[in-house]
Amino acid sequence: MNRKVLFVDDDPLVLKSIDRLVRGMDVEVFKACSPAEALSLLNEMSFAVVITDNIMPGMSGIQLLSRIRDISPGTVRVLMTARVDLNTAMSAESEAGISRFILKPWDNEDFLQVIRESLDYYDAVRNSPEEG
Amino acid sequence: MNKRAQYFEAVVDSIADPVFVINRNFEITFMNQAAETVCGKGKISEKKICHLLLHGRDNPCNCYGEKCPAQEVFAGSGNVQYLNLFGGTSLNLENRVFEITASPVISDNGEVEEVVEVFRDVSDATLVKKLQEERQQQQILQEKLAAKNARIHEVFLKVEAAKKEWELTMDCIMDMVIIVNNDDEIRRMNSMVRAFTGKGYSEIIGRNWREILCESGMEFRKMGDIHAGDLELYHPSSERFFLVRSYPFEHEVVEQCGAVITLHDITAMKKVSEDLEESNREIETSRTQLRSALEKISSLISQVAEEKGFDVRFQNPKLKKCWAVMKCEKKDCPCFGKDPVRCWQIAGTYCKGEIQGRFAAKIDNCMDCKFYQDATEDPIYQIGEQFNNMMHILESKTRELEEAYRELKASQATILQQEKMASIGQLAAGVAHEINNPIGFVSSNLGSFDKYLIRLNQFVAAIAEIEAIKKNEEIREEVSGLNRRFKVDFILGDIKDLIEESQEGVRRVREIVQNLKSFSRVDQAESKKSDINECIESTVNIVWNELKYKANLVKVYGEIPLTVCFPQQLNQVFMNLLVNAAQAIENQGEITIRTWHQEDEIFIAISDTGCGISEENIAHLFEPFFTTKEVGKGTGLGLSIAYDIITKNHNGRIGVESETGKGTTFTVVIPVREE
Repeated sequence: MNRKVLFVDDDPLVLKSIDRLVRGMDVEVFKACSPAEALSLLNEMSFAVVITDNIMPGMSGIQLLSRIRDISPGTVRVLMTARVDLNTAMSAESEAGISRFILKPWDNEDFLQVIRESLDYYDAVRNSPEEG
Repeated sequence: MNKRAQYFEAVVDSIADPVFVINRNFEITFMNQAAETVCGKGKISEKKICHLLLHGRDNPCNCYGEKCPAQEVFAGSGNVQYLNLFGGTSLNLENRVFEITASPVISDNGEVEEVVEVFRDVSDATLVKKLQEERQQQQILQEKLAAKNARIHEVFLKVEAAKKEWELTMDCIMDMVIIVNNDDEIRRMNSMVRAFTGKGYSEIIGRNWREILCESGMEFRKMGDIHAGDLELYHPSSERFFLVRSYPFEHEVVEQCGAVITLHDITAMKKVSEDLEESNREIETSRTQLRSALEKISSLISQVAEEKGFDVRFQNPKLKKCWAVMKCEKKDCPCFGKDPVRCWQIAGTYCKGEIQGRFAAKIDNCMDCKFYQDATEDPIYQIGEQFNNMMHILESKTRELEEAYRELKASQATILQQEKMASIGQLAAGVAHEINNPIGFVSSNLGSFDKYLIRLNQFVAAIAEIEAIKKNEEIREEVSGLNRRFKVDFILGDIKDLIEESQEGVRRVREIVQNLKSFSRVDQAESKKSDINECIESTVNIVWNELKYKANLVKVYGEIPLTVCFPQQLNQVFMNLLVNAAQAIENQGEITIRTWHQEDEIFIAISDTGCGISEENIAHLFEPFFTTKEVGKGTGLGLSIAYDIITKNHNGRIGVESETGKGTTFTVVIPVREE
């Protein structure tokens, strides 16, 4: 079964370029142009990895990932941001349990590496014995 | 002889009247028979003194009011005749009246040696009575006389007392009082006159009063009417002045005319009036000076109002070249060698009445200088002083105000600039995000494109390797024809470059955005340990567009330690200096950035080979709003902000060396701060 990866960004060109980038990966790619769209997709299915832009209208990426943690705790959450300062990093960590970041503008290889590692992490958590 | 004597004796004895001869001792040297009868025989031997014998008295008769004829004759009266009433004696002569005739007996040398007294009894009842009445009357008269004498004596005593009183009064008067007769001869004077002239009463009396006074050295100063009190005398040796006044009088009873002359000492009064005149003159002079001083001051004030300058000063003419007039040798005095100016004012140290600063060290020189004292004591010049002080204070206050205004303008400019930078920073942060998205997908797409290209190349190569095509000359020709027609080989070759170049472009944009963000992030104004070389490098990246067409940039970065600083602020400074350097270069030049470390300081020198700065402009270089650039090119703020940042925020310094036409070097020095 193919693992599902969701990309969220309010800029469709960003989504399109990412689509091109990950085309060769063994994953099923989903794209959402807004946090709302992302959340409705999350209601329909579960994702292995969600990678979202931070600054978007309506809801920030951190807020979105925080919601996703509640809805689908097993999903690996990655934040894309143009700027990582201490405040952003701290709130991302405490509010949404995010430990992985992708800096904008990104380096393609780094980007793919983050996705691969996230998938590995997802698999490792899934395959480990259930906790609690 | 004896016979003759006996004869004369007999003659004399025959005379019925008693005859006595009396010598100068009133001794009876001879008496005739009749005398002996009257006196009693033998009496002569017992009482040969005439008054003892005849009157029973111890002294000659005239001591008792009765006349002694013998005495009269001895006194040289010649023959004397008296009527004498005898009474109360032991002799038998009671109530007998004798007419006594006394004649002198002249000696050989012509002196009266003896007196011969002949007594003739003229007694009869009426004569005796008459004599008795006469005697009574005489007694009454004598009593009256005695009473009158007593009264006169009493009056005399009173007069004496009055005279004493009057004299005492005269002597008590401090004026000299002289009483003269009509001939100006002194009849009386008080003790003041005697004391003044040094002469005794008898020396003065009867003298002309003017002469006496002249002899004592008195000069007649002001000749005027003596009666009106206009006559004035001066005594040079005691320097005293006297006012002379005469009060004439006429005594009807004694028919005596004269005058009382008084000399009143008016020296003190005269001194007072002279002083008064003097002070009046001084007051008048002061008033004139005051008026002219006020006029001067008001003209100075209007001058200030018109020119709005504070350099006008009240000139103190008394200070004119005091050093020259006083032959002063104190060359460290601020006045020495100067034009007539008020030195302490010029030195700016005589303020609010207190001597301060530079002048205070030299003031001792002037304290005993008359010019200085005059200038500080004279009220006129004190007014001037106050005015000058006021001007001085106004001037310095204005300077302070101007300074404060300039500082205000500068800090306003700094704030403006900072706000501008802050809003640029916020804008940049927003823009950065927006730019990062397109950069993100452009760069990502380029990466994908690169990968696609590999596939495309592989595809083209694979087509070329297709056996059927290789074997079919016609198809091969057609393919290579299409290849040529569409320049596929070139395109495939060039796409590689195209992608790389585009990626380079994206990289640069990314870097600019990064720098813009870091540069403009004024909210990140906290200090942190930074590498100055890195700061400069990031600044160079930002301004590179400004520099690259103008200058060849030479970077000589030295080994410098990290230092705690405000990197964003330093970025601003370096940017300003680099942009200025570029703007100074007209066509093509060289900008050199050098950094080095010396002792505990970091040096950053930015040099250009531009037009340089003129000497007069260098003085204003760090002033806010000073610019030599054309309108729109510079705000005149850059260097003043740089100056503020380096000196105030980093305790450093910024200097400039320039040579017109050759170039300029700005050197920033900041101390290394470990924490």
